[in-house]
Amino acid sequence: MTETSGRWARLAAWFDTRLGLTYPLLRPAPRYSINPFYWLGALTVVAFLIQGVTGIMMMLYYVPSPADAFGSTQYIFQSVYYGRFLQTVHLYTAYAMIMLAFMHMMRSYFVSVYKKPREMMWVVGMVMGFVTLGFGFTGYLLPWTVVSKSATDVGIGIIDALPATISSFLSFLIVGAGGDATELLRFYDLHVVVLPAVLLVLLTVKMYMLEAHGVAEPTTGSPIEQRASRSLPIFPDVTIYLLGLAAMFGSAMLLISAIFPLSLPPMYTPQLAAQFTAQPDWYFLWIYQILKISAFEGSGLPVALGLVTLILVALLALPFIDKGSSRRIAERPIFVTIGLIFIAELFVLAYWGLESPGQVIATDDAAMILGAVALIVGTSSFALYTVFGQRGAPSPDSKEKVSKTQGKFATALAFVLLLSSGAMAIGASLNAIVRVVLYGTSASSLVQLGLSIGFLSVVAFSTVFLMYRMELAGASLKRRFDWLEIGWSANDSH
Amino acid sequence: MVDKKAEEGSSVRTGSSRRNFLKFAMAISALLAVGGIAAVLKSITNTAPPTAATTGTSAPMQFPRVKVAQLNDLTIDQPIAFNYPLDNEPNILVKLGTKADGGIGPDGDIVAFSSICQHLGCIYGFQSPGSSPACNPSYKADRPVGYCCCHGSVYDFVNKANVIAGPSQRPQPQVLLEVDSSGNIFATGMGPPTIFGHDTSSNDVSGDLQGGTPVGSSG
Amino acid sequence: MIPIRRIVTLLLVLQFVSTGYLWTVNGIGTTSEARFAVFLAVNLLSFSIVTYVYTHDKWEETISRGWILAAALGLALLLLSSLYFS
Repeated sequence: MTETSGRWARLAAWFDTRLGLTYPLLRPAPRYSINPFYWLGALTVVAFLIQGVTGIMMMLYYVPSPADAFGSTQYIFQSVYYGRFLQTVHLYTAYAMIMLAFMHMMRSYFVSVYKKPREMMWVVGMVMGFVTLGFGFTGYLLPWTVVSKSATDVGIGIIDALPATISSFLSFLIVGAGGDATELLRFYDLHVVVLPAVLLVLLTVKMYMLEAHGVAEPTTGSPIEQRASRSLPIFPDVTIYLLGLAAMFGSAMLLISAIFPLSLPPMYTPQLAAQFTAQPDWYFLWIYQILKISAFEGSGLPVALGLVTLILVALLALPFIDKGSSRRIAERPIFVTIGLIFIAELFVLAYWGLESPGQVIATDDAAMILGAVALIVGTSSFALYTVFGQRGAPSPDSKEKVSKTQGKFATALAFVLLLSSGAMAIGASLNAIVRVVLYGTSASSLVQLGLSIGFLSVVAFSTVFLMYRMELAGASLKRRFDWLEIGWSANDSH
Repeated sequence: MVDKKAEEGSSVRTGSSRRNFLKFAMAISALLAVGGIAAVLKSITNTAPPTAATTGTSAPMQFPRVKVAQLNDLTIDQPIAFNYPLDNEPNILVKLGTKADGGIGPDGDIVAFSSICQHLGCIYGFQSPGSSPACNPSYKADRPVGYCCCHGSVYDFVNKANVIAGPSQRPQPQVLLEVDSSGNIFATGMGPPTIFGHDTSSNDVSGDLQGGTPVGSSG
Repeated sequence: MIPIRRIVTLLLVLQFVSTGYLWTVNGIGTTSEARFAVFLAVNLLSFSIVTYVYTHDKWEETISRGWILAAALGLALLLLSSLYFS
C-alpha cells in the first residue's frame, strides 16, 4: 500500500505544482462553516452551473424565431435522446435556483449577516437575486407556448406602466423596435449572454468580498470556542465537501425530474391565447396577486408598482435600515418578526394568486386576509419571544434538570400545539369581528364571535398556565435548538 | 506487510492505511462521478428520428382520418363546423350548389376550409350568394364566400378560398375530403398553405400537425 | 461492526456499475429517462457519501457507520429496483 500511495502522492504533487491547487489563495474555512446553511449561496451557484450546462446543450438545437421556437423546442422534446429529460432538469433546476437564492437571503436575513462590514455583500447579493428573477422571466418566453407568451405579454404590459424614462429604457432593452421576432431575440440574448455575464461579474465581486471579510461567525458560542474551531484548507477538504453537497443537490434534481417529467403546452397562437388566462410563473405570483387587488386597478396600477418597488428597495437597503448592534435572533424580535411575516405573506399571496387566475381581488378581502396573516404570525412570533426570550442565569440545580430529557419533548409539543391553536383562535376572532363590523350583528355572527373569543381565552389561559409551570420547574428548552444558531439567551457570551 | 499489521493494531489514530485507502477511494469515486456525468453529456448529443421506444408521445406523421359529415344531411349553403386536424382548430364544410375547385360529392360542390382567417387569426363565417354579413350589411356576396368580420377579408369558396377582397395575403387552406359509398364524408388531410398560426414561412402542411393534439388521438 | 472500508468499497462498486451502464446504454435509446436518471443519481449520491466518509475521517471525527451502511444498501436497492420499471 505504501508503494501505491507513494505513486499516487507523486502524481498528486505533479498536478499541485502545475495547477497550484494547494496554494493558499482562499482563506481556510472554519469548522463551524461545515453546515449546509452556510452553503445555500454556493448551491445557488451550483444550480446556475447546471443551468449553464443544460442550457448549452439545448442551445445546440433551439432556434430563437417565432416561427421556429416552438418547433425546435418540440424537436428537443421528441427527437433528441433524453431531450425531454434535459428540458425537465433545466426547468426544475431553475426553480431550485430561485428557491435556494431565496433561502440564502432569508438565512442571511435571520442571522443578520449583513451587519458591518458585510453590508455591500448583501446589496450585491440582492442585485444577483434580481438577475436570477430576470433569468426566469426571459427564459420563460423561449418555448413560445400559449402559457409562456401570454404570461410574458402581461409582464411587458406591466413594465409599460412604470414611469416613462424607466419603461422606455426597459422597453428598448427587452422589446426593441417591437414585434414578436425582435422581442424573442432580445429575450434570448438577455437569457443566454447578457444575464449570465452580469451574474458572473457580480459573483466575482461577492466572492472577493467574502475572501476579504471571511465567513460570518455563528451567533452561538463564545469567541474562544469559535477561534478554537479548526481551520480547514479549501483544497482538498472544503472543495470535496462542496462537491459532496453539489452531488446531493444534483441527484435530487435528477430524481425529481424523473418522477415529474414535463409536457409541452400548445404553441402560442393569438386565438388560443385569447381563450387562455395568463398567469406568471410561481416566483412572480406574489406581485401578480398584489396587482390584482381592485384598489390598484386601472389608474391605481402605478401605486401597486410603487408598493412592490418599495418592498424591493427596502430589502435592498436593509443593512442601512437595521442599525441594531446584535446579530442574535433572540435579540432582534422586531426584524425577525417582520421577516417571518414577509415569508408568510409571500406564500399566502403566491398560493392565492395560483388559485384565482385572472380574478380581481376585492380590496377588503385582501386587507382582511393579509392583515390576518400578519397578525397571526406576528402574535405567534412575539409569544415565542416572550416564552423563550432572555432570562437570568439558570440556577445550578436547574442545570441538572436541563440534562434530564424526560418531559422536554412533551413540553415542546404542548407549546407548539398551544401556539398554533392560539393563532387559529386569533384568526377566527378576527374573522368574526370583521364580519360583525361589515355585515352587522345577527344571531349567527354573534355566536361565532362569542365562540371564537371563548376559544381564544382558553388557549391564552392554558399558555400562561404552562409557562408558569415551566418557570417553576426551571426547565430550559433553549439548549435543544443551538444547532440552528439562534442564540437564545444572553448567557451565551459574545 | 508485517509493519502495516502492527501499525493497524497498535495505532491510536484511525490508522494511516485506512487514510490512504480513503484517499484512493475518494479519487476513484470522483473519477466515476465525472464519468457518469460525461456519459449523460455524450448521450444527449445524439439525435435520432423518433421511434415509439425513445419518445413518450410522438407527433403523428400523418393526418388523421376523421368523419366530419354525412352526405344526406347536407343542405346547400348550410355550413357545418368541425375541428381538424388539431382538436382546437375550427373549419367549415359547405355544400355550395355549384361545382367548386377541389369539391367532392356527386355534384363536386362540397368543400371545406379552415375558418381561421389567414390575416390575423380571427374566425370568419360563411356567406351564401346574395346574403350580407351582420357585421357589414353594406357588403353583398355575389358567390359563396367566407367573410371575415375583423378586417373584411373575403375568400372565394368556389376557387380554393382565394382572396378576392380585404387585407389577407394568403388563401384559406382547404381540407382534403373523401366520401365513401355510404355517404360518410371524411377529412383526410390539409392542402397548402399552412393553417394560420403554424409555420407560415413554408407551404409544408406537415406543420399543421404541430403544436397541439390532433383530433381523435388520446393526447 | 462492518469496517468502513467495506462500505466504501460497496459504494465504489455501485458507482462503477452505474457509470458502466450509463456508458453502454446510451446510443441505443431503449432505456427510459427515469432509469437513466436513477442510475446517475445513485452514482452521485454514492460519491457524496464517500466525500462524507473521507472528510470526517480526515478531520478525525466520528462517522456514523449505521447510517452510512443503511444509505449504501438503500442505494443498491434503488439501483436494482430501477431495472424493473421501463
